[in-house]
Amino acid sequence: MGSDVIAPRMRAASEGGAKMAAPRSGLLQALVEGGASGLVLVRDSAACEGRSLLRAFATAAVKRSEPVLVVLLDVPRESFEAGLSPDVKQRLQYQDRLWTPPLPCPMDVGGLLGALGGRGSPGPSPTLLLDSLSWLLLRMRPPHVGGAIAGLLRGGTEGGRVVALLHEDLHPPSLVRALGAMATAQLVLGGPAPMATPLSQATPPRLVRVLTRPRRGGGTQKDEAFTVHPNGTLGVPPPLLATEGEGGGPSPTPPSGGAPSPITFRLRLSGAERAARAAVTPPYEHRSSMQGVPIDPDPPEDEDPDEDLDV
Amino acid sequence: MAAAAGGTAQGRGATSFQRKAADGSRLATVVGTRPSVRHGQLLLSSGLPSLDCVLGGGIAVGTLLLIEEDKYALYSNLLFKYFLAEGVVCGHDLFVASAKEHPDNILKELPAPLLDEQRNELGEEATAVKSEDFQDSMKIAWRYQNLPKIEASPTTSTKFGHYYDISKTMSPELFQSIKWHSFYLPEELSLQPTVKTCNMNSAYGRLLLSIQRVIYQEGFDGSDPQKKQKNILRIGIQNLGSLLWGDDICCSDTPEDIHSLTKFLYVLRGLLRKSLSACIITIPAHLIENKAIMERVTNLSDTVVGLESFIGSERETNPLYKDYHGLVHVRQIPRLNSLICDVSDTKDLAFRLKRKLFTIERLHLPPDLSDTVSRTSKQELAGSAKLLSSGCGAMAIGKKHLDF
Repeated sequence: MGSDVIAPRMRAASEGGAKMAAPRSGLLQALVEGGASGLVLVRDSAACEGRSLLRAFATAAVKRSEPVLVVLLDVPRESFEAGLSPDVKQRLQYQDRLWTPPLPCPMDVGGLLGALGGRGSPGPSPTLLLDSLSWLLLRMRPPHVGGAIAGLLRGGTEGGRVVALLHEDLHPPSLVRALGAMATAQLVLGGPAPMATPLSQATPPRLVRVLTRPRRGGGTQKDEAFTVHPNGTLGVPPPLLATEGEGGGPSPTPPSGGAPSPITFRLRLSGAERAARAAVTPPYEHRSSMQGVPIDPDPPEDEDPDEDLDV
Repeated sequence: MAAAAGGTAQGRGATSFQRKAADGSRLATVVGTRPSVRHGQLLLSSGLPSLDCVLGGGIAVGTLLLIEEDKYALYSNLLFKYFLAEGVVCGHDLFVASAKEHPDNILKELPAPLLDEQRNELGEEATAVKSEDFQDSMKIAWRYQNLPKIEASPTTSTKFGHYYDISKTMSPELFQSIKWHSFYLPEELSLQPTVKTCNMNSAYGRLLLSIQRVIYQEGFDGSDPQKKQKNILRIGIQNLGSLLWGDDICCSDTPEDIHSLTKFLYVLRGLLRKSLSACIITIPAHLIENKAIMERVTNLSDTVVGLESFIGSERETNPLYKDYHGLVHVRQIPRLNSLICDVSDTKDLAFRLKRKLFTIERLHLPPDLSDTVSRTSKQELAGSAKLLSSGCGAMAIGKKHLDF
């Protein structure tokens, strides 16, 4: 009875997982490597910047030889492409300051992505990077911005994507939520990742919370650690977040099943624990010394014990 | 003797009470509708019989059903599609409006109707098991045998509405017999850049004009009642009030344009009331910060149903809710031709999505099988406290979880 109810939910979750990511490589990597379509929001704040993640998207798309259009509104081109490898720089197309202060109607940008897709070969899907959405939101009414993004997505080919940077500390949370409802995936940047062993790296790994829109049920929220190397490639540090064990060494097998089970014993014991268990004298062995205590059972009562019950 | 008794009964019946058979048959000439037994309004099915039952038999013609979307709009979209699919099966006209997804795509993804025998197969497996258990297992708890059996999902005795298989899409042949109109906001904006709307968000104004045109031109307002076969117009509006409709009630606590949506609903209700139509609207209520807006929207709608999915909430892993995918809140039921409304006898409703069917059921908590777990954990707590106090548990300290 219960199993047939849970089964679809689990199946849906595993389907979603297979679509988004191979089991080893994590959601973020799958998204960066072309798994995302539609609007991807990169939500950063003053404390943790998200532009490097945008550069990772650009590098990965160039590696797949897809056309990439970068719309720069926050920073000049030089600071965006600092550190990127020359062949990546060469392949990126730019729109700097598309919407300069006497603002034209943003709707006419709708066909931009489509034009970009039409110029390239019909195969690869175009990618548009928007740095940043906050610039637009601070200057235009949110419904207009939403309409413009929807127009960008509509103008693009099937499977096209818009990766937009959003400085979420600049906007009210309700606006961030409303934009999140439009997005297919959101990447919320967090602080530095807790690492088991401090790695001496130029770019310490950081945390990102990946929120994806479920197709049919299933969990959609996952915290992952990542690094972006200066040349714009995405690195996933090998020891991920699975270090929240009980202070022991690294467990040989990952814990099976998501939820912590309510059993009060462990099936896997270490050698020391096994020895400790063997050293304990079981209670019935103490008992064996005092044998011969006679136990005579009570004589069977012939009275009905429930006689006084007036049923 | 028997004939005489029958005759007297008939005679007695004829004297005082008369069934308004003629009236009923006149109302029931519209396909896919039936008159309500309580208030005489024409009802049509929402496409989900269990929802119909909760709402007092169905949706009355001329009223508005508002669905508060769940967080990811997964299940509210299902209800939306059920409503439209029921219209296709009954041969009603459709009007589909959306700002996000093209109405053509929505119609392509409507669920396929389940034939009666298929549905019986689905249902019989469960009931067969139940009835066997019922015969055998009542030897000890025999008293419960006399209690009435409670159906899990609320159903009506009469057959009304159809069931749909969400794993399949409707075949295109079914669409050929019906007439449908679509309203896709970006298309409308590009076709007619300027439309004069009276003091209202331009998207809502366009939508109203479009609905009004369909109602008047296709004769749903009853302007030429004698000429044509009467039919119902089912109107579906998706994701109303979101950013894409050009409304900012979702993204701000104090929106600039606070009255557009309420004005729209007010005018729409007027249009519905004087035409043979029914409307379903899904609205992202969880994004609307300003509670006053949601209250006004609720008051301007007739029936309001909220969906709360467990995705992403702590209830998803709570064993109490493991059989369900979310909760259904019936927020408002219209009072039609009476002072009271058809309130369902239970308020705790939940929905679940099976492989093929989406159903609304009474929320049952599962039997409490977890007492062993809680007992051991209690014992464990007590035991460890005792060991610590007696001081003889030196060996056990730190090895609480040994495998005995």
